[in-house]
Amino acid sequence: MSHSSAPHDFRAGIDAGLHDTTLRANFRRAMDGLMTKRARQFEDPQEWTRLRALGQEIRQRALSKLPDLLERLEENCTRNGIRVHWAEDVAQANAIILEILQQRGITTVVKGKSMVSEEMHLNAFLGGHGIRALEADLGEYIIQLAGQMPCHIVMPAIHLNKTQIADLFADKLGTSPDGQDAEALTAIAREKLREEFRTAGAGISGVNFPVAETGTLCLIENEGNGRMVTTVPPVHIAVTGIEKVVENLEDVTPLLRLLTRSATGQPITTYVNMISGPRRGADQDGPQEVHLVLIDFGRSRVYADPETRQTLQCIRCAACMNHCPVYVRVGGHAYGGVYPGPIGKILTPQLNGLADYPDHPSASSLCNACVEVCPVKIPIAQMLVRLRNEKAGQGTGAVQDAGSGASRVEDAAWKAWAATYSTPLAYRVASAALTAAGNALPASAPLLKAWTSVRKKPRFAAQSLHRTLKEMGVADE
Amino acid sequence: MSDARANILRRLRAAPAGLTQPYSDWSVLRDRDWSIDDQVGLFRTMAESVNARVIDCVAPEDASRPLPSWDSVLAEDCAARGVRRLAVSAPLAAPLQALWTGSPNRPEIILTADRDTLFSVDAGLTTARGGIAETGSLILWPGPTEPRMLSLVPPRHIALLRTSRLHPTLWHAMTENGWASQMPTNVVLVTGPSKTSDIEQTLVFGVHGPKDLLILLINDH
Ligand code: SF4
Repeated sequence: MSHSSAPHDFRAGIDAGLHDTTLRANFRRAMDGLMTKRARQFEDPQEWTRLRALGQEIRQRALSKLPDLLERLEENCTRNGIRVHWAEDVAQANAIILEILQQRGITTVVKGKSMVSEEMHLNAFLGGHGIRALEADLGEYIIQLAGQMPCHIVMPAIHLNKTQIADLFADKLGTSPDGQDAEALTAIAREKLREEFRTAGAGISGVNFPVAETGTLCLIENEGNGRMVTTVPPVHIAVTGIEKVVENLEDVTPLLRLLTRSATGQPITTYVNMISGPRRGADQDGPQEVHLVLIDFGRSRVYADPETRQTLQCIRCAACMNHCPVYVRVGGHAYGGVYPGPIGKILTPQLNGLADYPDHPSASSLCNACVEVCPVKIPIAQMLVRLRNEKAGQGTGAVQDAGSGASRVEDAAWKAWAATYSTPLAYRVASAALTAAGNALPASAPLLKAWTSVRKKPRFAAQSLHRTLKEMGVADE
Repeated sequence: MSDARANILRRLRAAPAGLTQPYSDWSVLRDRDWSIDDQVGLFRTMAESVNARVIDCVAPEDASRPLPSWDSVLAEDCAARGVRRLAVSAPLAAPLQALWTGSPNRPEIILTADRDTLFSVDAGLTTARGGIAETGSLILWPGPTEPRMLSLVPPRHIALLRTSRLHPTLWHAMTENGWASQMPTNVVLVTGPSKTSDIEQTLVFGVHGPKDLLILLINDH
């Protein structure tokens, strides 16, 4: 299923991102702001260390019992009146939602932010069946108008500045493009969407934490669009990945603290919704039906290997991308796929295959900035190395399209490198040769060219470090 | 779709065991030795830091403190902000009606769960089941006497919160009151008015939810 199109061209995306100065300025400003706000929330290193250890433990505990917890979630949701559906792939999930909507004659749905629904290309799918799906989160609303994909999983429209948004609104909504600040633009969206909330046939949302113990769907947000889509329309459909489930209600509390503080530097979001069913008994409002669609989309394959399984601990806070020196320079769209940044680099190739996303594992200097901020301690750098090995056919074959990037030349080069480094004589000969003649190599030499086309050619020192240290009298370097 | 269910569960069960965590240290959440006065102070600071307005008051029958009664604070605030049509939670409707009868310039009290009416009123008045000191959050527990939309669709939300109902953290509120065994269909934590910073990270209040949140903090501890 993965070879339906040409592999994602990351390099073209990188070029486009690097040369777009407006984009780079917009990203730089946004990421600096997010990093500062996050740092203020974790000033006490003791608290940070203990809280993220707890967060990691909760996610690992949940994953260690995943099939049991999913069954328990289903049982408790069902008891609460929530109808639970399962989908192995995008086509199944879309079909489930379409059927729910068509059976009830629903033609307009309002949506809260949901990355899973992006994986499903749900809006386009519903549109193709004559159902209007309207994004209600302000950032998502903006990029839907622009016909784009989110460039960030928490701040989808952060690559656009207010002038660009004012022009977009002018073009699509007929408002004035002049003198519109963030407040005026927000007011325009509020006005447009209020009527949609009031009259939509269904609301579709994601879920941050589905709780097995109580059959509760926790959904966090700042704008109130999540409350609107899960409260006002007669039908609420929630979609979530199978890996998200947590065991107990109390497990939500540390994860919530970690998520909001890591994501936007807030102690808590404006709204934390805990939804445990459609309206019941004498309830005066709330939807008459709540559906939960549990989706796999390749997650069970990621789960099959205990090392790659750690990818599924993710709580989608986006801290890793905010702190990534690559992401901040190339922007979110360069990555293709739904999830950009470090989490995207490890998740996308695992969900969609290394053949389609061959450059994802390599687009990193392994600087570890993401690992240091990840609130659930996912070893992202270690995972990138694992994926590089899998791509080269040097892993266990657990990852989809393992071995698709195997290269005889690369393989031979690394074998030679290993041999040189493990044989003292070979090492001395090679380094002496490079010291003597390395600087004479032209920058356009075949293997050197890929490096020197975007960088200066490195200069070899007049003598090796070994020799220098020996001359300095360092006995045992 | 039961095939999908069986297939997914089968694949997950076939996977080898991974990392398990036998024990977790919850002290980072549990250890809070704040007095009730500390909690009241912290609640106010945190709520105000996200643009909620917090006004100290007392119950109408309480003369033990030199604070105004909540209904008079409410009347004044409605007058100051032009609130003419006030939707209220059922348990508050009768007392408020009694307190305000005969007084001039009071907003119209509306008792309804009708969607279109709620979309058109100026403000909604609800109770709060409790509050969370650490984050300045209200715990709303809508149900048979209080529609969910009452705190959501009117442009202003006014909530009554008793200081005796404050908890240090969400974890305390949840575990001490046994939420896990009695979750209603909807619990919402509300911290400040609706907001966004989706455009250039500029903070703007009042996106889809209320633009203004007034907390009438009834001192009864
Ligand atoms: S990988 Fe870690 S830092 Fe990145 S989004 Fe997931 S939880 Fe956040």
